[in-house]
Amino acid sequence: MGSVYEVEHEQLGVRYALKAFTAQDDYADILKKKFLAEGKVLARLRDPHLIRVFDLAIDEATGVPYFVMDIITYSDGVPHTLDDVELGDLEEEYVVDWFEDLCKALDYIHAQGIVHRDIKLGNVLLREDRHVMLSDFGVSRIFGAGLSREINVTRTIVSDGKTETKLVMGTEGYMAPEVLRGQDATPAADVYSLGVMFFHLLTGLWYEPGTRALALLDSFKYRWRDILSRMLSVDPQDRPLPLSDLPRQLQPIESPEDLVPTKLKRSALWGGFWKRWYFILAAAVVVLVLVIATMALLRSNSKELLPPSQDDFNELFSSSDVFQPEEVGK
Amino acid sequence: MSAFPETSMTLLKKIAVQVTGEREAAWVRFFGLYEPAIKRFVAWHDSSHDPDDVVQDIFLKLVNVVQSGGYDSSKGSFRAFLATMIRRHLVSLYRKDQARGAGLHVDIDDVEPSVSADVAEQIDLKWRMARHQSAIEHVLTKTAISAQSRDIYRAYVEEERSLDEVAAQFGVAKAVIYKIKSRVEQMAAIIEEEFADEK
Repeated sequence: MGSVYEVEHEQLGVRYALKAFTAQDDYADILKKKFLAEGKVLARLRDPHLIRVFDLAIDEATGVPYFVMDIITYSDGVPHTLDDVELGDLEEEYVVDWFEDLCKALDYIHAQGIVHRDIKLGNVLLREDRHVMLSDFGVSRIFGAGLSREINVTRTIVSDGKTETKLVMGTEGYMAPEVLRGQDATPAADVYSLGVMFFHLLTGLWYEPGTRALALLDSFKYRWRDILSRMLSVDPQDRPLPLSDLPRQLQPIESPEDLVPTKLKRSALWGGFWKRWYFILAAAVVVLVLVIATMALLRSNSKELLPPSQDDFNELFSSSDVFQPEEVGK
Repeated sequence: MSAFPETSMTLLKKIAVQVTGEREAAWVRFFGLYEPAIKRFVAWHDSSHDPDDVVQDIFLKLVNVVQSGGYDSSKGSFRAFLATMIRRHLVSLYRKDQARGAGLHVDIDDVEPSVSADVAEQIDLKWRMARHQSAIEHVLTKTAISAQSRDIYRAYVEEERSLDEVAAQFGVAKAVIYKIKSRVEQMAAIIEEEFADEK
C-alpha cells in the first residue's frame, strides 16, 4: 500500500525513510485510512526494536499522505528484511538474538494495547549489528476498552458450511487458526505468527499443525521445541503471554559439539569422565584389591610377632652352629 | 528466501487450495519439497534435460489433468494423487529416453508408464534416493544447524573422507562426527515423511 524512499533532511543532513501512500485500487480509501493509522500507531511507540516515526503529514501539492521514519540498513548499506536471509547461512545464535528482540518488541506493543497482526519475515528489518526491528504496522489494531479503532477490510470466510464476510488481516501462511476462522486477532494471534516465523527460520518449512515436523526442533542447540510448541498451540489460551519471559526459557541443550569436547576442552573431558559409572566401578575394584592386599600383608606380619612354639625351640637347639652347653660334672 | 515464490506451480497451488480447502501454506510446503526432489532425479537420470523445464512441464501437465477432471476424490487424497502423477511422469520420462536410446519412437505426450519390473524397480529406487537426498540437502541448506555441523557432515559423508581426517581437521572427537551424521539423517527422515504416499 506504500512505497518507501530514502530521503535526507536538508538542514540536518540525516537520512530517513519516507513511506508514501501509493495505492490506487478499489480499496484506496480504506487503505489510506490504514496508512495514516499506521503512522499514528508508530509515532507513539518507543522501543529499541521498533521503527520510530518522526513526522506524519499529507503533501499539499499532491495530497499524498506520508510519514518519515528511521532508516534501517544492514552492513551493505541497503535495507534488508529477514525475508532476504538465506536460511542455509543462518547461525542458530542469530535466531536466538532475533527471538529475544522480537519478544521484547511484541511484549511492548501488547502492553500498549496494540496487536501487530502481520508478523512475518518481510516485516522484520535487519540492523547492522545483526539485531532486528519490527516494522510495518499497516494492519495493526488498537485493542482494549475504549480504544477500538479497527479499520475493516472484509473477506469471505467459509466456516462450518456457512459463508460469511468478516475482517481478516495479515498474511495467510502466518495466521493463527482462529483468525483464519474469522475471529478477531488478539495478542495470542501475534504469538502464533511469531512461532510460525521462527519455525520457518529454523527448519526451512512452513508450520503445518498435525505433522511431526516439530520433532525437527529437537536437533538444535536451544529448547525451541518446548517454546514453539506452546506458541503454535491451536487454542489461543495455551499460547504463552506475556512474551517477556520466553527468551529466558529458551535454554541451551546439549549440542553435538558439546557431547565430546575438542582438544581445547580437555578439562571438561575429565569432568565428564569422572561422572561415568564404569570409572567409579573400576575405582572401587582397585580400592578393594588394595584393601585385600593390605590385609594379607598385615596378616603375614602379625605371624612373626607370635610367641615361639616348642617346634621353634627344637629347631633352634638342634642347629649345629648354635651354642651347646657342657655336661655338668665331667 | 521468498514466502510464496511466483513460479510455474502457482496455478497448480491455487487449484490444490480450491480442491482441498487446505491453506496455501500447506501447498507451498508440498511443492517446496517436491520441486528439488524432481530436479535431483532428473539431474541424476540424464543431463540432456533441464531440470527446471522438467518441473515446469510436470506441473503444467498436472494442471491439465486436474482441470480435465482427472482427479477422483473417492480414490484417495489430492496429495497422494499429485504424488502418484509426479512419479508417473518421471517414469514416462525415463521410458522415453530409454526408447530414444534404442532408436524407438515414443509419443511425447504418452505418460502411461509401461516398463519392465526391473526398470520400474530401478526408477523407484532412484526416486526414493532423490527424495532422500533432497531431504538431506534441505537439512544442510535450509535449516539453522550450525555451519560446523554442516561442514563436518559434508566432509565425512559426501566427500567420504576418513573419520580420523575429519576429526583432525575440525578438532572434534570421532563421536561428535557420528552424532552429527545421525542428527542430520534423523532430521532428513522427518522431512521425508512429508512426501505423500504414492498409489
